[in-house]
Amino acid sequence: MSILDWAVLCSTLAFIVIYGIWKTRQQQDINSYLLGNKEAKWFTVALSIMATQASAITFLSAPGQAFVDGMRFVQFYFGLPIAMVVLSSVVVPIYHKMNVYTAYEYLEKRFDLKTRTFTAILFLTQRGLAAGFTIFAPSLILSSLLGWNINITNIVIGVIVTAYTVIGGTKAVNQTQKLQMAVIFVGMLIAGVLVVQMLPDEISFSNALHIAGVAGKLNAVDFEFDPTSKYNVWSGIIGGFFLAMSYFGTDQSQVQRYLSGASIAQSRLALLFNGMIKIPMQFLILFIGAMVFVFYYFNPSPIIFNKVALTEATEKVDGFDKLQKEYAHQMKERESSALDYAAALNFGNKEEIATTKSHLMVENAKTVALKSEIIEKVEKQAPEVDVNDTNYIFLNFVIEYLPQGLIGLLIAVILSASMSSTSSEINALASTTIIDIYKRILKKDGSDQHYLTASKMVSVGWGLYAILFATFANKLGSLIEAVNILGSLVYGVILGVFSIAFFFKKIGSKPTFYAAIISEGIIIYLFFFTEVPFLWYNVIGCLSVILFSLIFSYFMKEEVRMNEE
Amino acid sequence: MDQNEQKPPVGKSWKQLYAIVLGELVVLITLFSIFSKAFN
Repeated sequence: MSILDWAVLCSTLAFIVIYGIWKTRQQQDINSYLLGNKEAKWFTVALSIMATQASAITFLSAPGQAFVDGMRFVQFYFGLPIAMVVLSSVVVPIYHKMNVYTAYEYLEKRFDLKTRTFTAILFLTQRGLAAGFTIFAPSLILSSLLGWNINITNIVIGVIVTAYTVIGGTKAVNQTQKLQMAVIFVGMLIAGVLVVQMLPDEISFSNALHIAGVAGKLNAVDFEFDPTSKYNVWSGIIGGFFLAMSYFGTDQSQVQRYLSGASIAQSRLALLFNGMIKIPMQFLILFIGAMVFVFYYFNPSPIIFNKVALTEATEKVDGFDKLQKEYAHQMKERESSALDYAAALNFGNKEEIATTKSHLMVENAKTVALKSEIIEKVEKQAPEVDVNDTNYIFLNFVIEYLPQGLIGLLIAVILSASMSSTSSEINALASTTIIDIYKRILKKDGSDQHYLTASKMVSVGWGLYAILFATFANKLGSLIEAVNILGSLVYGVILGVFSIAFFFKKIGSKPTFYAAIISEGIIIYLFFFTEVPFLWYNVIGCLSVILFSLIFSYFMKEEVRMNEE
Repeated sequence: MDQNEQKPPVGKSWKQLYAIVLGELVVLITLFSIFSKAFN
């Protein structure tokens, strides 16, 4: 990285952090610390919600996903706007009216202490591990592509984010996220424009779309109902709806964002705004990936985009240099076919278009087959080499091809995204620890000042925990996978518990608690003994809790504790 | 919920805003579908 890149990167991040701390320097009580005095306007809350969901991996992985698998991943978000409408109309008024600090606090008012504590602990376990991973994942990629020391990167990101979260609490998280989202939007927009501009002169934007289309990269929508397919319209709408309901409705890292809204109306509008912006935003990020794919038709493309893995493969695989030359030759053949196809499109002769198109399809297939053959060889001869390079493709493009200054800005985008998610997580972990565990069970009679100090100390604790987890994550490969699995294993059941609380006013705590335990057993069975894709766990877990609760409530007559209406 | 809370900060009513969000979803899926068919 050049001095200019470093200057852009450091000044952008420093400005965001200093601004966040300065804007929130007068924190006085626990309410202002955890809920920002409930003063935030809808636009601030909306950006905070979006910044919390969009981690660094979103911006690193999504373009790579489109590069490898096409744009069909966008369907994953189709259920989100529907969930935003349900949450906005039903859930937000309940949380606001009950004046709760955390989502789990509501469960005690609705059911009992054991249900509240159970869900709070599930959240702390799952989100605590995820917070470390949010720091670790971008550090790993930056260290591979830029040669940065991974531990120092973890510590720098972790210490900065913990510092401003501890000092400013929820307000600082909201204020910094506004600027972080601005940096992210500007950076991604510039990257998108540049990748199209950097295509050869003879390739128009329309040509680029046709070339990406021939390779199947613009497959944004698939209406075929296939329960085994990860992404189609139906799994996106149904599975995505349940996932978004669980994440935005029951995960404290999101609930805390809209609880900081100045009124019910401000929080509701923030969620609706998120519902409108999320899909176009993801579409554009994926589209950048599809354009990066076209860009590499006309520029040298490595077999593996992860530089560390490429070096290892070169050293450990017999004849890898020869394979690389063979691959480069095939890429040239493909480039030539793409240029012929573009020329035919520009000329407009239908026959010539059909001929050059089928030729390009043949060259595409040959390229894919050759790459698979090489990757297979690497996996066989050097199984320790990580050949899954989806997350490295976009940043590799940024570092190799974008001009000085913009590289710094794009790395600021990645780090901003990482910090914005982590700050919300630390903030939410601290709130849940203090409100649902410490204040409720361990020390009930503390002063406001005592809980404020305790919140700050707990935030420091969770920040250090996240840094420690990120530092050791390299040695815990299978645990990282477990973090993602753990999330999908518990989200559906938690949503089921909240659904009973919100929509089935006559069902009490006992039927819900037992239904949750049985449903969790079903999800674990599905995970170990079936091939059901994880997105469906959310649907099955939630519906199972509702079904069993209804059955049990028929046999277990009990008095329902409260009704918020 | 009081009357002030009932009124959205923008737009006429919440129902109208919900319709806009869900309508946009339908429009986006239709546009994406046309986009996919045009270039695949």
